[in-house]
Amino acid sequence: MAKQYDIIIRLLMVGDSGVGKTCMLCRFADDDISSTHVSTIGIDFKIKTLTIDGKKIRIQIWDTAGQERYETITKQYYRRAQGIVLVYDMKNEESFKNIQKWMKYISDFAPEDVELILVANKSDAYNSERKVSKEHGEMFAKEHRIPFYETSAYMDMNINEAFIMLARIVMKRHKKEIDKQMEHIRLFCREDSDAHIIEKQGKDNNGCCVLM
Amino acid sequence: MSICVHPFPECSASREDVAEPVPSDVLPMLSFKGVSHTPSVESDSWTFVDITQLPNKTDTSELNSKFLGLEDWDIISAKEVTGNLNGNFGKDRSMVAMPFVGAFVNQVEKTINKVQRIFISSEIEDEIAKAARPPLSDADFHKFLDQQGRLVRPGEFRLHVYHGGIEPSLRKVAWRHLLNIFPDGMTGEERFYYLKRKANEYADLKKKWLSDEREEVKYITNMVHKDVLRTDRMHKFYAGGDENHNVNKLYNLLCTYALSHPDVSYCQGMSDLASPILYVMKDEAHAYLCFCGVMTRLKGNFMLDGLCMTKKFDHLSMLLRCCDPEFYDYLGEQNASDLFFCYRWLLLELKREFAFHDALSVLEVMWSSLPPDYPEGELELCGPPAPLSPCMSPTDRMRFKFAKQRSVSQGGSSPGSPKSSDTTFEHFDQKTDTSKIHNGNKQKKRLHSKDSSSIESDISEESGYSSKSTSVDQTPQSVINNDLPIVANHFSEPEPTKERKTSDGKSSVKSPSVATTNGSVNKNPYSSLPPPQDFGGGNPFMLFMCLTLLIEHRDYVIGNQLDYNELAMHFDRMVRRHNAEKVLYRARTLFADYLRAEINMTQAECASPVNSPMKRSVTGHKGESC
Repeated sequence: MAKQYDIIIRLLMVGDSGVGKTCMLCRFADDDISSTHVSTIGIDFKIKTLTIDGKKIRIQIWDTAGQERYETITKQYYRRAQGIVLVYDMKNEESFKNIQKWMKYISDFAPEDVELILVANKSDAYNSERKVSKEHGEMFAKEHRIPFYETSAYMDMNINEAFIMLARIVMKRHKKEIDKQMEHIRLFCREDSDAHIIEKQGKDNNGCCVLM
Repeated sequence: MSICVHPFPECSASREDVAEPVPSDVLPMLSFKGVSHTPSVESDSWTFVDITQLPNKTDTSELNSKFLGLEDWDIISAKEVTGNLNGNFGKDRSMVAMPFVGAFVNQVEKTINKVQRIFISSEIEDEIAKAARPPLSDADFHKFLDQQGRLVRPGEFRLHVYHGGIEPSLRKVAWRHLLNIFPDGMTGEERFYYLKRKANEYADLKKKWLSDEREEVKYITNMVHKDVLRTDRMHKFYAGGDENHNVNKLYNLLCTYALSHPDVSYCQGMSDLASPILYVMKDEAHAYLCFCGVMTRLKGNFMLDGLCMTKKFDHLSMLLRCCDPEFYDYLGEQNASDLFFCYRWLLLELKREFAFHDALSVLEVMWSSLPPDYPEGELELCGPPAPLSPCMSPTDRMRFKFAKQRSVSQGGSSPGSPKSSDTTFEHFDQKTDTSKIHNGNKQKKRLHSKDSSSIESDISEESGYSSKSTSVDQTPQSVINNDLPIVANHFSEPEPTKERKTSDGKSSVKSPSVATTNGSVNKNPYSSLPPPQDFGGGNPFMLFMCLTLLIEHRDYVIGNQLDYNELAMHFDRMVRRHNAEKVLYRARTLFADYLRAEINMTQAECASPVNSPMKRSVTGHKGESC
């Protein structure tokens, strides 16, 4: 398969069951939420390619099952993540409270330099349905110094913004490796036009960069 | 011996809307005139079917001759065979057990031997068409009943379903039998009253939680609620607004199960298992009974200890390695040999991989490949109280690791290294973990010391059992001192002749070729696999279905050099798109090869019972096969 990307970054989505993680992801990756009305078993996975600051970025996003029973499996993926989207449902206070729990898992299992964002999904909710105020969400995010977004996968509000923001801060964090990698790929392209070799080399580099 | 079989009128009457056979006073045809098993010549509607049965008692030589003449047998049930063997070889219940499914072997073309052939063959469509059998019809089903409606030929019943599936209109009746909700030997009338009584029992269980306002209850019902709203909603049976009463039924039955089985509770995925059952049964209480029937076998999949799933992963991996080493190696290179992308397949027995109606066929064929497992006494509608609180804290839960064997064998590698991060689970302190599990079990035992066949993976029990039943390389000490997760014993146990575990505790599943060069007697690749009773946690056919899905896509995956993520995505895209007929056909063919190898092996062992009396010890015990 021809690899049309330059750089891979790995994101992970966590949050309680039913907060809309899969919907967000499908909206972002496929711009379609019609097929997502199904619970995630274990872990799902999507890819989206974007150009950010002139760099072609391949974003891999792992979508985890929110239910506790799957935590043993989903936690396998924490340590591979460079960025994590913490999602709660603004109509469900419990899911907001549990953000603490998810933060704890992240500090236990994810790499130290992982970047986070906090997302309050379902902003299409009527005011009467809202259980977690924007201020509460913002306060929490501020405390932990992470960006905060209110999104609606259903109405396609802020979804792209949230993911792109996370991709950007991940890229910033890994700037050194990424620049090195870009340089490497560019050199390779000049030296040899054999797509296969480029692809292989690119892949190896990515693997290396991403997993460090 | 001849048995006369009568088309059983109550079944046709009851098939669609009436729950189950109506009592004799309603339908005069179902009468009890003391009709014996002698053929009645008065009626044209009597049919005569010859069936041959294994005698209850037989000496070894007779048994061997029976085995050698296996091809003459229409059907052999596990019960009959184990019964015989136990009679012969004393009390050892772990003796050779011929799979019930052994009989399937003879039903498949004998000429097909090579895995490749069925995948390369361009005439596959023709072959499928040729092999196609008609689904089980009402009239077919009657042939398996006696005059009182007893299912007297369960083996043939299952065999028919295995090859052709079931006509949709008969599913409601047939699934109840496939899912083992009736005790053995019930007449139609008895089943009718049994269902009625059980439905009341269900209603009582449901009432209990409906009036329970505690937080724990709310917590579980909330979980269930979230999931029923997204289970098969594309199907018209569950479609529409949230007030769809079928969705509500699904909710009720899942909540009742979760709250009556605190040891299992609710877990995502259960709604997928319950949904086709409710669709077929329509009646909530009957669906509940069938769901309990399924969960008797599958609850292990949802247990926190993960042992059952680990075993299934390991077995699938062994199978793939056996049948397609090249693909296996490719996956290894991609760090995908953990087969994690098959998680949903194994958890839900492929329910989500096929379109809804195809899934119904796949499920019934899969169920029919299993030997009947009648409830002793009655089907239990509720489980034992939870040994550990269902609401225990997340940190407690974390201690129950997903006991992947490899994570231990690679225990030295640092968690941060790319390799281990790709292929292993968390590295918990083994000793702490094991002691934790054992403590949990002690507690469990105190609570239900009588329930020896209790479903939950009672680990200490299991390891104790394996030390008794395995002989060659499993000493009780090795079980007790073992630092490995207990699952290692568990799965190395069925076949002590092959070295599965070396003394340093590393797993070493030998590939067939290696085994051969070492002078082992293996002649076919399947001989290194566990016996059907154990393989795939007691559902070997499901593994062959998974294998088929993998092999069908292997050329694409290898050809395009898909990496771990890409191949996970590739299979994700295939959700609900697999061709059920094709996959079933191929899986049957592969499965038949495996069973044939098993039978050959068993025959060889039967022929020399003195030399190898324990070679194929078997966990024939409900609670232990996950």
